[in-house]
Amino acid sequence: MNYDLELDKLIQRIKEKKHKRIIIQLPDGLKNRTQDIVDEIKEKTDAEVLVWMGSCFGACDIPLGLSQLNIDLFAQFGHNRFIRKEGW
Amino acid sequence: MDTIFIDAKYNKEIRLDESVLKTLKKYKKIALFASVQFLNLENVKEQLKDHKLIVSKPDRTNATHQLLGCDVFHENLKLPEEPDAFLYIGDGLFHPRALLLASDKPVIQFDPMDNSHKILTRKDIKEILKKYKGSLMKFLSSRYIGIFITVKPGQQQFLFSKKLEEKYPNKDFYYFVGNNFDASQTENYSFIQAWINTACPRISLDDSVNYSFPMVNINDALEAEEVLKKL
Repeated sequence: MNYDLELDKLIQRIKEKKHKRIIIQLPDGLKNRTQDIVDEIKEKTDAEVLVWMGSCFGACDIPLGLSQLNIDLFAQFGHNRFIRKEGW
Repeated sequence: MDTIFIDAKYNKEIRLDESVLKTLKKYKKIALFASVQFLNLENVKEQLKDHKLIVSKPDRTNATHQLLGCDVFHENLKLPEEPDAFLYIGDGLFHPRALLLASDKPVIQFDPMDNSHKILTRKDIKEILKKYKGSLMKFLSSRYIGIFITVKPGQQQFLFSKKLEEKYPNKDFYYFVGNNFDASQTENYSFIQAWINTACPRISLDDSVNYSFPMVNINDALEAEEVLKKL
């Protein structure tokens, strides 16, 4: 694996904030790592892990409606926070 | 809801190989960009010390040298001066094609995973540019215009799109809202003569070569005649 998925950082955050339900969103190139990521988080925390089954084009593409599922933490892989600016 | 972004950084050393260094020799001023995974560029910058390195942080990015797929407009790149060529570090062609759309300078794409490089020029996107030119002309001559507004928080530009009504008082605008743009849905609205895209600009550029209808990015539509002169 050539990419650092920083699962330790994510797991630490889940433990610190006592998150109960999290959702991960992965770009297509990392979707084949879903099982490894979910299994490791479940093994090391008590959190329930959901997987966003949809597009992940960038930090501009955050799923909507997550509040309906009482998600405590949303984790997007493969992008960093971007600066919203109107007008492309 | 708590939110975290994980960059998924490339965890190996990035170093240009002899072959790409030879290619770069013919360019003096080089603008260096990478996707977020490949921003560990210290070695690369050292290797380019005999060139003039153009350093910038595009509008919506978080880091210097970082490039997003939506950076297809020259002014977004925030270049302090015009380079002779771009060097893009990363795999895939999606990001370096953004640079081709933003500038007529060559783009050298270096993939650190297999130490290969490609030299890309506007010839590689000629189909996109040809289709887009036709779309701009069709937009200008059309009366009934559909505007696509996405509900994606990072791409939603509903208020900005209203500027079109001021700029083109003789056109009739209809606003369509969705999450991802679904080209097949346009068939249900056959009265629309041209579409305006306010979501990711790559939809109306790369994707549009497969569309049977004209589609133009919002900011280009606001300056359609000026943009046409440059294409």
